[in-house]
Amino acid sequence: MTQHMLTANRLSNGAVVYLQGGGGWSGDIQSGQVVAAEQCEALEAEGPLGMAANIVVAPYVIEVEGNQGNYTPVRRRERIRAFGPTVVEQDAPSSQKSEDLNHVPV
Amino acid sequence: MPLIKDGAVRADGWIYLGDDDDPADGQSVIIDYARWHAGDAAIAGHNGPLGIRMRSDQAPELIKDDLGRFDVIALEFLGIADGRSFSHARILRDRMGYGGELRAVGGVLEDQIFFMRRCGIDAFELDPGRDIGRAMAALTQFSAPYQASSDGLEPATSRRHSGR
Amino acid sequence: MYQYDEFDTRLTNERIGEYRDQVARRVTGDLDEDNFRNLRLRNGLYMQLHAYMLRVAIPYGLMSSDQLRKLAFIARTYDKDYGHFTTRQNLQYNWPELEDTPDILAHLAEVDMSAIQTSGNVNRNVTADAFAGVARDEIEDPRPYCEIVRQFLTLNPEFSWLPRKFKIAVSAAAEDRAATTVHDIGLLLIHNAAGDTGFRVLVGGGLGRSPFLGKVLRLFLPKDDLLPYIQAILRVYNMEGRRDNIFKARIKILVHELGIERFKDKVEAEFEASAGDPLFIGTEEEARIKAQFAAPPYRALDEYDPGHEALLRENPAFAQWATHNLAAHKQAGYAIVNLPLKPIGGIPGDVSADQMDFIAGLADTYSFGELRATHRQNLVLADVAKSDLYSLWQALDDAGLAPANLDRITDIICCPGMDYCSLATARSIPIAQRISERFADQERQDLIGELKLNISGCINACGHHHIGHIGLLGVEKNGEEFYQITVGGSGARDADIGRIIGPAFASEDVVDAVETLVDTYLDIRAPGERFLDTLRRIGSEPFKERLYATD
Repeated sequence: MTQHMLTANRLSNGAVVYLQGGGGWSGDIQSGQVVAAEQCEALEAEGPLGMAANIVVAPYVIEVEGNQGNYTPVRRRERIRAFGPTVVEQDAPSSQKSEDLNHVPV
Repeated sequence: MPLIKDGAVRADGWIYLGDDDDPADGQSVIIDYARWHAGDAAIAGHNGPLGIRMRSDQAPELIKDDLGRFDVIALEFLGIADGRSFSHARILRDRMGYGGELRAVGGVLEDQIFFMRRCGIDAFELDPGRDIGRAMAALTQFSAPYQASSDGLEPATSRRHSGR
Repeated sequence: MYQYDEFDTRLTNERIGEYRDQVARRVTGDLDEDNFRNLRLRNGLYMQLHAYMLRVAIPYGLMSSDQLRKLAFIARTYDKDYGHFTTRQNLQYNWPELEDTPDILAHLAEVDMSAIQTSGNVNRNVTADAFAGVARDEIEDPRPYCEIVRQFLTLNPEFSWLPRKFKIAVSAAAEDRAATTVHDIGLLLIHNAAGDTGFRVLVGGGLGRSPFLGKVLRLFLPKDDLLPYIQAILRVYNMEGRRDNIFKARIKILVHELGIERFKDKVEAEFEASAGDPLFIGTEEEARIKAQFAAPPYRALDEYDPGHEALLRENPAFAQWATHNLAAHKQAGYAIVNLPLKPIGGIPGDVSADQMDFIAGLADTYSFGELRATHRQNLVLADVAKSDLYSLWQALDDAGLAPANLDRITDIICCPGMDYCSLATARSIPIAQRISERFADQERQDLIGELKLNISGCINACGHHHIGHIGLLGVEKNGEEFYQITVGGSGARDADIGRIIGPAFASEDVVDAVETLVDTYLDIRAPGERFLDTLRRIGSEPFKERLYATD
């Protein structure tokens, strides 16, 4: 059984975000709402709501694997979006993303 | 459909003639290029102002010998993906010396209005719902463009030396 | 260098005002994303994988130290303390926030910079030889013409909705350091037999999905015809370029489909028809712009500096740096200093804010307050007195900015790739880093000699892999990253598009593959041959055999 989440970029700073169960968008993939394949269409329909509210842009569904607390996107590109660049930036102590990991209600 | 002409919103005295309709006597009608090209007798014999609507894939070459017949040439602008009509407008003004009304139609975006004007467009048909105030303001968006164009505006490259 | 007058400043500020309003309307939702995206791109703002990306224009690669300091300030204040120099002499910031971008543009405007037209289907940054104005093999300084063209194409009302992006590159020297053969228009400044200045015009070059070398449109275009001729080319392209398929919309496709003769006929007809157009640029304006590129106050020096020569003999590390990174300057007693931004294992083209400030200071002290960004994502201090080279080197060396690897295998061109770019199909930076580390040994690099290795993370080829002596193209196969190797490309006067050598290599194998190519070359080369020369002499078969040998 495949697992899916809705992802997008935050309008204000372009940060990668995931739709949460309560309808908010969070930078922490672990708080993203996971649905089965049959619910993808419904999940996708949430994207335009976030766009209409000028919170996010370019929403789309991705596949994730794992369990609660260790969800990982299946595609490498989505892993890079979730966890940040795989390279260490100039003068940066680490390659941590700066996106807030807090729940932001819609 | 609101029409901006000569710096203000004006009543549009022109109507677009359906392909199967004939113009009434004295009526100001705009016809599609295809109809003009077909040599329609009703159009050829029309006793009134005539305008023509060119699609963005119809170059001005097609009507270069007929310009004297048209008081209005409506050029189709298809939004951000299609910039052909900007060149068509310039050719009509600069090369072919067209002195009638050049009207932008089809999906005029405020962000293109200043550039359209610089290419010689002097009338703009706005889709209903577009912000007229913004469109009007767009007419004078940049006070000192770099290059000469078809609007007769002296460019910065010249003004630097003429002191204007 | 060119300094803004009130007209340049007014245009830039009005543009910022327009953009600020667009951002405000986007935030409230008055402007939808589709329309806003088209508008923000015209001010260089992309949406990438993790964040927005802002591409700042550095016209023909030329910067002042003040400008570089401002770029550092922006990196610190609005980004993550670094910037990335690109293959088109621009600078990219990877982490700006949307509502900061109007302020960023305002800061740039304070130092005569902008991000105008660094993206969108418009004319992009006019790039040039990074040695313009100082190279010994140069015919005439092309920079005034670059500036003339820049102004002509900035917010040009007729050419702001082209079928696709448009890129012009300019060179004026015996060597082509600007890759003019793979640009939409490539201009080579030349003199005719009578000594008049003009341009050889190439058209239809490009990389990406369908690489082409540019074709000659005019062998000699008098300089006074430059703007009307460019207008003619752009007008034909604007009217007839394909708009049905985004992958077939560049001018190279139009030239290819019409054939150069038919294309030329159209351009010449258009050019002749516009002979009566209002004057494009007067002699006064041309003179005004040329005056801004007058030579700096060079000291009267001897070409041979005994002090410098002695230091070369005494200090092997200094000599090594000098041998690799200096180029001949037209002014006696001066040198062109290359600053490769390719530290072993580092991210090619990235510079920290601290490094930017430091380099700006060096430019002030040693190079009349100016520097350049190059096509290969490096920097140049163009006017250094030979007598200053040693202290400059010491300062660079202390700061870790003196790798002796210009044009060596570790002087890699590399796009941001899938670590940053939403278009990418594979990562490119980690590959560059691993190759750099594999070949870190200086002696080995020097044994190999000149080898231009270019890496692209996708078929859009921003890493210019097509014109690498060795090119790597990242592709995706079954969810894994693979790298297609091309060989034999060049962006110099001996221009050529690289050819795929065989099946792609998995990420874990590609560095070994590159090493195999290099070792093969070392085994079979004739004296004095670069990798590229050996390959051209014997063909790729011997390399292919070694590369795919099963043992």
